[in-house]
Formats: sequence, structure tokens, C-alpha cells
Amino acid sequence: MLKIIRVDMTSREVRSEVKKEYEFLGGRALTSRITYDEIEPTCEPLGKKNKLIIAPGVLGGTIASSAGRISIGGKSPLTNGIKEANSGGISGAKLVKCGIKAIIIEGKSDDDNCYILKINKDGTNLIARNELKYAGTYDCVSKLHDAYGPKVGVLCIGPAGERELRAAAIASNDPYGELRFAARGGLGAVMGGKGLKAIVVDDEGTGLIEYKDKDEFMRIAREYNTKLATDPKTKNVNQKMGTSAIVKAVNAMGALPVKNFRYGSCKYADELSGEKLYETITSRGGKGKTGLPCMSGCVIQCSSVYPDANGEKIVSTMQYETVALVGSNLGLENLDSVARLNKEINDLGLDSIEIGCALGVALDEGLGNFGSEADCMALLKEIWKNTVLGRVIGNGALMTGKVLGSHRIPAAKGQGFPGYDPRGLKGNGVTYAMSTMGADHTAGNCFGDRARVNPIGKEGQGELSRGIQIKIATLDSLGFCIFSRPPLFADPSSLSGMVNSLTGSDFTPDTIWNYGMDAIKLEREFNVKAGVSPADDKLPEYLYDEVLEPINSTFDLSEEEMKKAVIQ
Amino acid sequence: MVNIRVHLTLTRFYSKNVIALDIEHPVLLVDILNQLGIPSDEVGMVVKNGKWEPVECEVSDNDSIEVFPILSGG
Repeated sequence: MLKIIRVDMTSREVRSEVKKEYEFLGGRALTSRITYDEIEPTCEPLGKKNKLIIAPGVLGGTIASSAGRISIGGKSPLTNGIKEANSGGISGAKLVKCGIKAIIIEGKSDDDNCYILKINKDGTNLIARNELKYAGTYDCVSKLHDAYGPKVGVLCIGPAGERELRAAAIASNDPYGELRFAARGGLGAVMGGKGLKAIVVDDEGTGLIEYKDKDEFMRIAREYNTKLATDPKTKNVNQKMGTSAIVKAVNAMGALPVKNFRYGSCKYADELSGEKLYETITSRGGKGKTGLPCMSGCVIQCSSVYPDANGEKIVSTMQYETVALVGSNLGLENLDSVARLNKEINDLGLDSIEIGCALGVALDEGLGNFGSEADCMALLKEIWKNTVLGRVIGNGALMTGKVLGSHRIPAAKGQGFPGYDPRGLKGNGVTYAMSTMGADHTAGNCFGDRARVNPIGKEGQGELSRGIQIKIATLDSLGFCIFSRPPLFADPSSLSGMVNSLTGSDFTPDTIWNYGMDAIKLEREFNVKAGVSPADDKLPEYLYDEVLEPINSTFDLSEEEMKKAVIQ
Repeated sequence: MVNIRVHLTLTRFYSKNVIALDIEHPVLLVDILNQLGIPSDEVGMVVKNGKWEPVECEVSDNDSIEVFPILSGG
């Protein structure tokens, strides 16, 4: 049975244990269960009582495509509630191959050393590597590759995490050494608060994965992989444009954040679109590339490298959320500006959504001009310099708005909005307000169901959000990427079949969704004990009064409609 | 004149992504899509004159229509 690694940062002891009761859990279901079982709900999120829990999904490390995501959980310093943020990259699969189900980081280091946790076939060790102190994420990953080889998995924080800024993320390297992020909720600050800079996972010489029925697993997984690979969206959209493929659609429906969520669409959306991203990457050539996998064996391959006019790399991978929050939300009209800011945000180790919201609020309050890359870059430099202003912005949208006196702070449960204005996509407004994760589209993005539910209608939004929250929490628990949805949702027997033949469980296509349902119930209970919910199940008041143009919409859902999304 | 812009994967059913049509009477969008060979069950969102509409909506002269495939979100 896979083991749990427990790392006490106070005593710097590392222990290994096996927990039978967690046998069938993984990913979000496991991080949330351990959070519920072990973390005092009222604890200080950046204190010694909070824990950082890292768990690959149930299907991580197998041949099932796009199932190697890594879940990171604990109590969020942004929402003060439970958090799970997951990321692509190679560490999830490598942890499974090392025989590890979860890592629990607890306590708090009381010295100034910069620690890394090194995992390989011989065991797990805490090592001080003070040359990494306050290193940017790119430099950190590069130095760890130099020290431990080009194939190791790395989870690390940047200076933002080390300085316990609440917008800090945790970076995860991909097969090419590029970075993905478990971004939301400020878990990078929790890691930094413990004194842990990085986790290095080396699966060289480790054992094979145990299957209950390997032949059956391979049969179902291959069938699913083929369906996913041959879905027209995979090759024609996801491989070319990644998540940015939706820019034009969100703009057309009037839900794109523009200038601190003041407008729902802009005239320059085509310049920020996935089509433009693909065209720019292919026409500039050089280091520019599309169609790269962020996890080994992934057939979707939605990562890209965005080059400058000379073909030199600026950043990998520019996502829709970054284009929305750091692009149109800041009034920036071209992808080059977004790419340069994205690189800086990544290097600091920040969540581009949270920091995009914080910068939007700052510009709105006069700390710069919308549309000025230089003004935004100057504010990011304040974070590098760790000035008071830098610390304010690095602590997220709500902190920035409170300090600057803003009454238009795009945040729910303390967390900045993702790239969908709740007045233009009301189902997501429900998710931001009602989900256990606060304003986090990954907790239940209703964007995919626009065909049957009017995004600005008053009906059906609560039920829509509830259903997608449960399904996504299930995928988060099994390790799947959001782009793997089409074949899995069309035929959930592939989900239950893969899980059963791997673990020996007895899920059906109906009960497989209990992964999500059970996780969310525990999360809500934790939040209630932490004092977060249900009083915080709401959106900022300005959204109810201020009309979003050009679609002429306010957030007008009844309390009754919102409550339909509660899972308890 | 009705202008229809077809996006992303839907372009595989019809060679042009901007389509201009003359219509004399209001017609259902699904009927137009059928004529163009675009299956309506692959349509994820329709925006008419800047506002969401169901795929069963009526199209009149001078309307501007955008048709997107089903997409998962970012």
C-alpha cells in the first residue's frame, strides 16, 4: 500500500506511515480528508498548526492520459477556509512511482535555513540549501536540476512564498523544466511559512505501480486515451491554443474582465485570443512552440512556449486566466505585454489570477494607468523589493483594495475572481460565492454549459454550479485535467472502471461521483468550524448594483437560487 | 444581410468562418446551421447582436451571429 510521508519542520523529523482508511483516496479527496482529520479549523493559516498536504490523484502515474495532476491542500491564508489547488507537471506521477500517497508538511522551522525535501528510492530527507533563499522559481528549478539531474520533479516556491505573501503559489515543473502552478489560495505562503523552499522527487530506480487487474485497467485506459486523442477539440483547439481558446467566446458573451471588472468585453479581444497566440507562436518560430505536454504521456498537449519577435522565449505557458486577469483586466491590448508580466509573476511565485486582480484594483485606485505594461511591471518590482506597497499587492486583491480604499474589490471569501465576471456568467458567480474554495473557477466552472443555461438568466444557475462542483471535485481527486472531461463525462464507466481495476474498489458509474460529493461535504464542515461559512457565501455588493456593459447585466440571483448550490 | 461567424472546431464543417447570407424572412438558426452542415449538437454557445441566445433562436435581417463550439473553459 502507498505510504504517507510526514515531515515535521519544527523538529525536522521525517516519518513514514500507512493509513488503511485512506486506501481509496487521492488528490483533492485526500488533501481535504487529511485537512479535516488533522488541522485545527480555527488555526492561524501561516502558523505552526496549519499543514501543507500534497497528494497525487488516485490514477496518477498510470498510463491514463492527463491524470498526473498534483493536489496541494491545507487551510488558506486568503480565504481562512479549506483549500485545494492542483497543478500539472511531472511530480504527481513521480510521487506515485516512489510509493507515496501523500506528503504532510507540519510544524514550522525556527531557523533561517532554506530547506528542501529530497525524495528518491533511498528515502526522504530534509536538506538545507541556503543558496536558494529568495531565488526566483526559474532560478530555483534550474539549480535543482543542476544538482539532482534534468529529470527530477520539483515543487517549489518563489520569494513571494518565502515572504508569506498571500497571493503566493507553488510551482511544478513539466518535462521540459517549464513551470505550472498550484496557484490559488495562497498555499505558497503556507509552504514558505514552514521554511520549506522546494520538494525534489527523483523516481529513478523506484518500483512499478501495483494494479488489482492490470489487463482490465490497460484496456479501459487505452480506450479512454484514444477517445481523448481523437476528440476534434484536442488536436484543433487545445494543442494549438491551450486554455486561451476561449478568449473570444468569453468576450462575445460579455463576461471577460476588462479594467478591474468594469466592462465585460473589449475591442481588442482578438489581439489577446488563442487564435492570435497560435498565429504569433508559429509565425515567430525560434523557441516558440505549441502542442507540448505538461505531464508525461498526456495526449492533450496544451502547453506552449511564447517567443518574442526575435524568437527568444518569453514565457511558458500563457493561460486563459492570465490573459484575462493580467491582460484585458489591466487594459493591456497585446499578448507580448501579458507574456512579459506573466514571466515576472511566475518568477516571483505568485498566482497570476490573484495578482491580476490586485493590480487591477491598484490601477483603478490610481497607482498606475490601465494599459501601461510599465506601470504594472513597476508594481511587480515593488514585490521583488519587498516594500510595503509590494507586500500589500502581494497579499492579494482584498488586502490591496482595503488598504487603498476601494469599494470595487473583485473577490469572494477573500480570494480574487478568475476570468469570468459573475454578472456575465452567473453560474460562476454562484461558484465563487457558494463553493468551499471561494472565488475559484476550478471549483466549478459553468462556462462549459452555456448551450443549455442562459449565462445571464436567473434560473438554473444554482443547480448548474452544484452539479459541476461535484464532478470537478471528483476529477481533482482522481488526478485528471479539466481538458480530459469530454470522454469521461460522456462515459463515467471509464472512470469507475479505471479506479476499480487499479485499486480493487467497487465504484459504479453513479457512485464514482461520491469522490467529489464526500470531499465537498467535509470541506464545508471544515469551513463552518473555521468560521467561514455560510455568512461568507456571498459576492461583493457592487455587483448587485453596478451594471456590466455591454450586456447590461447585474448579479441578481435570489438567495434561494444561490442555496441550491450548497453541498452538505 | 445576416453575418455568421463560426469559431474553432466548427470550421471543420464549413470552409469559411465568416458567412454572409441574404434572408427574406426570419428563420431559425438551427435551420441555417443544418443547411451549412454544422451539427447543432456541437454548438456550445450562440451570441446574437452581442447577447447570448439559445441555438434555437430566430435570425432576422441585419443580425450578427457568432457560433462557438462546446468548450471546457480555462
